[in-house]
Amino acid sequence: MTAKVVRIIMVLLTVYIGSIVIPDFYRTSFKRNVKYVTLNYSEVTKQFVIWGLKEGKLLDTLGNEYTRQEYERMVPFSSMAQLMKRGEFPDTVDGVAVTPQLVAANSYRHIVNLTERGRYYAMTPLVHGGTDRVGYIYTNDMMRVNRNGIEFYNCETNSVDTEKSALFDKELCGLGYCPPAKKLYGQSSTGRSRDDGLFFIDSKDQLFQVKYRAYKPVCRKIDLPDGIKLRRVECEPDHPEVVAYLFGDNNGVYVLTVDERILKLDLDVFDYDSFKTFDVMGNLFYHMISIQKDGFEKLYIFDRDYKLVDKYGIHSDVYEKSGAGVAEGFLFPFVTTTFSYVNGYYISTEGQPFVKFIWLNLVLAGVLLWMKRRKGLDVKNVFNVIDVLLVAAFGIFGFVSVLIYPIRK
Amino acid sequence: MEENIIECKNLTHYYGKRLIYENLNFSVKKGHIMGLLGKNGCGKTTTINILNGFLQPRSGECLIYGESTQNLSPDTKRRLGYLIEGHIQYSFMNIYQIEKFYSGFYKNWNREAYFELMSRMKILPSQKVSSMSCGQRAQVALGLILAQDPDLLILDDFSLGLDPGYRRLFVDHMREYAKAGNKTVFLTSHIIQDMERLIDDVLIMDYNRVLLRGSASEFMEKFHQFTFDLERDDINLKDEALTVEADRIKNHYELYTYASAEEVQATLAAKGLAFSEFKQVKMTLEDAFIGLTGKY
Amino acid sequence: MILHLFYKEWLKTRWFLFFVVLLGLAIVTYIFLDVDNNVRMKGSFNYLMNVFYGIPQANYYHSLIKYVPLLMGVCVGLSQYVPEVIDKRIKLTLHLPMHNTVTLYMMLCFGFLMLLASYAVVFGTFFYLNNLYFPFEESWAVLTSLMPWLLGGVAVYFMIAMISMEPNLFYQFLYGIVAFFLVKQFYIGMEHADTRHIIPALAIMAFVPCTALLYTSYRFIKGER
Repeated sequence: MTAKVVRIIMVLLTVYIGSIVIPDFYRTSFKRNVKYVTLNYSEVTKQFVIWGLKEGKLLDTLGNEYTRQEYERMVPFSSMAQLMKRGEFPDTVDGVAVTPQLVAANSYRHIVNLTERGRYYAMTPLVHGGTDRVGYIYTNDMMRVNRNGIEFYNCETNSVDTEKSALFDKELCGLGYCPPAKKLYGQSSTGRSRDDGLFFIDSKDQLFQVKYRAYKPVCRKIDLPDGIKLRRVECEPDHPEVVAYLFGDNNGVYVLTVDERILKLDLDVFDYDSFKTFDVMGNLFYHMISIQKDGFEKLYIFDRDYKLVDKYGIHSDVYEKSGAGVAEGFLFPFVTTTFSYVNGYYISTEGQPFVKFIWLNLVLAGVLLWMKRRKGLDVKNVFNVIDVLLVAAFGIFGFVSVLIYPIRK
Repeated sequence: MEENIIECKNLTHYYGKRLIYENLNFSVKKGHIMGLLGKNGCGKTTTINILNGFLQPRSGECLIYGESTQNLSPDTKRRLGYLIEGHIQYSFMNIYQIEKFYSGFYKNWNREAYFELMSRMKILPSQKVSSMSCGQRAQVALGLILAQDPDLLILDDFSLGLDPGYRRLFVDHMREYAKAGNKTVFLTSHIIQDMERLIDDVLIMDYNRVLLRGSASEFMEKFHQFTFDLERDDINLKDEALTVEADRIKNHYELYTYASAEEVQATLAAKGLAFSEFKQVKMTLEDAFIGLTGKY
Repeated sequence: MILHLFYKEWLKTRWFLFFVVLLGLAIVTYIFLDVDNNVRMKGSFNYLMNVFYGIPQANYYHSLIKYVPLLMGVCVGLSQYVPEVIDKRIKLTLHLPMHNTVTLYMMLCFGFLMLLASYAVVFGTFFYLNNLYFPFEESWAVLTSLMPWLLGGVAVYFMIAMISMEPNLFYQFLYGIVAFFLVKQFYIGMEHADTRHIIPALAIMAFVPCTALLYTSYRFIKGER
């Protein structure tokens, strides 16, 4: 009896492992590239341009077709190098005089991978500005935030610089800081023209910014709009106007500017948990923000003051809609994927629609029943019935697992 | 009535579709030494495995001290000495370690008996089991069983790989031990030599069936071998009612039977067969075993 | 009785344990010689910046210990069970005057404790030295990424025990495949990985196989072949 119960436990474990391994083999064998569509926006025609809808062609939203050369002329800022090589870089764009230097100075890109949820061990340097040295310098210590407040850990002596820590703590407590901090954001670095210091969210979900200038802490509390709590602060130290993008728990995205304004971006369909990429591109005329998830991209065009100018969303083909992907729904009741990247390691299981896989499951359950009868096993025995039910529930995974662990007559 | 220590009822076993035996019944009485003899592959080790609880028969059951061998209690296991075919022991241990290990499991552990045998065999305490000859290993296994002092011994093919000297030594020790302590022994062997010195009862098996079950001495008394010459060399004696086994080289005949010399002679005469050189041959147990089971 | 059983297990495993712990300590020593060298060459602050914020592949100073727990699990498992499987010596063990389940689980318990003891020696040394060179945050980052690897060693040990008791070679092979893919899941993570949310799932995957011994030993005792 015990052995038979243990056998069922092992079958269930094997079902779980099977749901990782078998779909992985299946996808390695049958997965093909799907038609992938991307968007761009023409500063010249004020139209969205779509890559990949038609083989070798570019289309705009009105259905006009363009060659690659025509397209490059339509997006002179992002195709600047190519146009210069051909001697076609224009003197004016949309009536505004441009030079390569001006375009380069105003172009930026920042890609935020939303599936990466940041570091879970918070320790980062805080550079020192306003000293007798030019620019910023490292101070040979790193800052951490914990129950005690702020601690500066001196790497050389392997100890906490209590004096400096107390200095910052005192300053922050005066602003209403309530330790411990939940998250620490930003990477204060000497290699940049501007240092925004570090940001952290305290136990009451208040946002603080901390800098170190002329041997003194420079701290401020940033009042958040709409009563939001922050899920993430993504710093933008290379942009001349933007300090950080703030992701709120209301799925709102805000821009924190160098002049301490907080502007809400009108990203109507954005959802922090379902979108995977937040891609910001900027040029002389616009801020362009593309949000992407599997099979969908939406591009928002903002003017220099973050007023929405235009938006366009487009669906790509996805693996789930390809032949192999559709067949997968009929073959596997669920699929478990495991993946890892820097700082992360995930196992997730996703189910398929019941009406698809149940047919194969029932067939396999029937095959198992027939095999058991042929072997002369008592098919009315409770453990044999459980076997058949396991196959009916877990399909191909159950079938393989049940056969791996033989049942005694 | 003597108590049955081992009692096997209606044992039937198959490996896949191959029948080993069907409805095998036997019992071993207290103080008796029973030998299960048979050719290779007739089910000796299968029976031992069932007795030790390492095999569940297709049907039937075996009881040891009234407990099913499928579920022996620790107390019963403690009364049971077991020798695996080939005198297998923990080869990674040395003589000293193996004694130390086993001593913790048995209340009546007799350390002296073990070390006495080891010193008699000139085996050093630091000698590892893995570096021993088969004969030495057999003595270690025997020494451990003697030290355990079990009430019932189950020995699987103890003679395997032993030369005649070691075999005789083993048999003599075992007999002396069993008889002095009124111990019960169940053993199997495919080498029958020396066996009559040891066993009281015998169970002789052939493929799928039992050829003999009973007292070894009674069997040796009743079972005979006769040789004689006939004028013709084409007589088939195997079909005669009194024949157990018969063999012939030219016109020289060998007959194994439970019948007496007179009965055999009468049967030959009744068939009109003139015989000469009629002799009763004195048999060892091995001869009798071959007479019963045939040479092949 | 249990102590005597442990004595037997100790005789089987002691040299393998000794060598695998020695190897683990040698790896730890090498890692911290390298760390010490880096600290001297680059300075503590710069080296710590490298470790926290450098290009990951270049800065995982502790990569070498990733498969040490796996090696320990394999060594303890094989050294404990291979001698029992050869010539079916496990029959001797199961003949000891104890309940079979108790005997088998005491053996398993011994192996598990030995595995934990080896972990304690090697990784205790690792974290002791790690704390001398790095702040707590680094040890925490290493510990979270190490947990799946430690559990992987446990899983492989239990799977070896289970496979050893299986009497049929073909099914041993099949369980071997299951074991391979099971254990693989513990080693997909990188060297600084937040694994806290998946530790419960991995712990279940590591400890469920400890029950499997009951299934294969039952097959052995019933004489399956």
